[in-house]
Amino acid sequence: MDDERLDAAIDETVRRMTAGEPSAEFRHRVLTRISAGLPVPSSTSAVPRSVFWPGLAAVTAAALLLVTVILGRHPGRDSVAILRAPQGSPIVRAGQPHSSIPEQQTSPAAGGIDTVRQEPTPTVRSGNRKIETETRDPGTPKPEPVIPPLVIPPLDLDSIAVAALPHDTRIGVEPLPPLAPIAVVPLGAADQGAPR
Amino acid sequence: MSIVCVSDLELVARARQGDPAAFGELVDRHRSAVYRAALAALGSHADAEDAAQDTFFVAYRRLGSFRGEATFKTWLLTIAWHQAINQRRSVMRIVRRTIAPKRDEEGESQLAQLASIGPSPEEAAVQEQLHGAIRAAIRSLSPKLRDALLLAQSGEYSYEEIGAMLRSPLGTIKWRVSEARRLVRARLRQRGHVADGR
Repeated sequence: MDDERLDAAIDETVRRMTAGEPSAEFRHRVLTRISAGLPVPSSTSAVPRSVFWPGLAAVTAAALLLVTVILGRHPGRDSVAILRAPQGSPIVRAGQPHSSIPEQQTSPAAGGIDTVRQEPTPTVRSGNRKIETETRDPGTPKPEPVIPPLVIPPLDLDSIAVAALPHDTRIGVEPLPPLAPIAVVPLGAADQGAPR
Repeated sequence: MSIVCVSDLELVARARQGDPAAFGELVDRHRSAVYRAALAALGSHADAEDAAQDTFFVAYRRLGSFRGEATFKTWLLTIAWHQAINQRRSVMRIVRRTIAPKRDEEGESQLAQLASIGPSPEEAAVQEQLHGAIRAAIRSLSPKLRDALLLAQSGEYSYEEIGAMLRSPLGTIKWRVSEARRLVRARLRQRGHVADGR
């Protein structure tokens, strides 16, 4: 059989597979459903409702549990109460509103209890930007942002006084006692173990 | 003016204003196309009837979203295909078809045709055997190729309508139809239903 006849047979088969008419009461059924306002049957959803809702509830509960566990393990930055700042710097409180110090970093070497990077509060930034857009005139140049100068308060610590050593003081080091010689004796026949 | 002479767009406008007769006319005009698209996707007359009813019900509720960018038939067919594919993927349908023995509606129609066909019973039997083999080969195609072939060769839809239904470009649809034909021919030859020589 050549391709042409085979294609004709394929076409005929497809026509048979797709031939058909809806029932005679089709229009009546459709209009009855519309007038009754019946919902679309569950066939429109890929997953039946009896399976969908319990499944969704289970997934939601699992997600909530996961979030709770994660939050319990990693508390947020705001929960860090007070960080010790390096000497000479003012105390920084995490979660505090924006101060004159935009960013502080402490490290264990610098005397802090943990390494914390406090980022500028976004609300303050957006607030500044908002004021700029509201007050700026298109013809006038952009005004320089007003940044308060960094003020470091003086240290209120007592200086460490180190007394000088007297000149005649010497460190006495006593000589070590003489070591006894170690005698080395060859092993005898009785000291040797049994051959393997 | 008789409602039969009114365009689809006019009927849609009337149906939006709550005229049930206008929507009934739209149902009559397009129910065959909707039904056959559902049948191509589902392969079962009962499921196709359900999907076609759902299609018109959904279309009525969404009439407000029809903006006339495509024809009403194309818009309706996209809804029909969506409904049919959802039904095809339905878990309950898969379970039902697995449990219940499949009613061979095509087999019944073949028997009826065998009784009424003009050629001799032997020739008719050979023809039916070939059609059965082609049907099996079509069913073994991937859904994308099978859908494109069934919709294109049903003679009911234009390639533009098929592209809208399957949400694929025209060239892709044509390639799928061609590829589906090639695979069906190859499988028939592989199974010995058709001689290898051309």
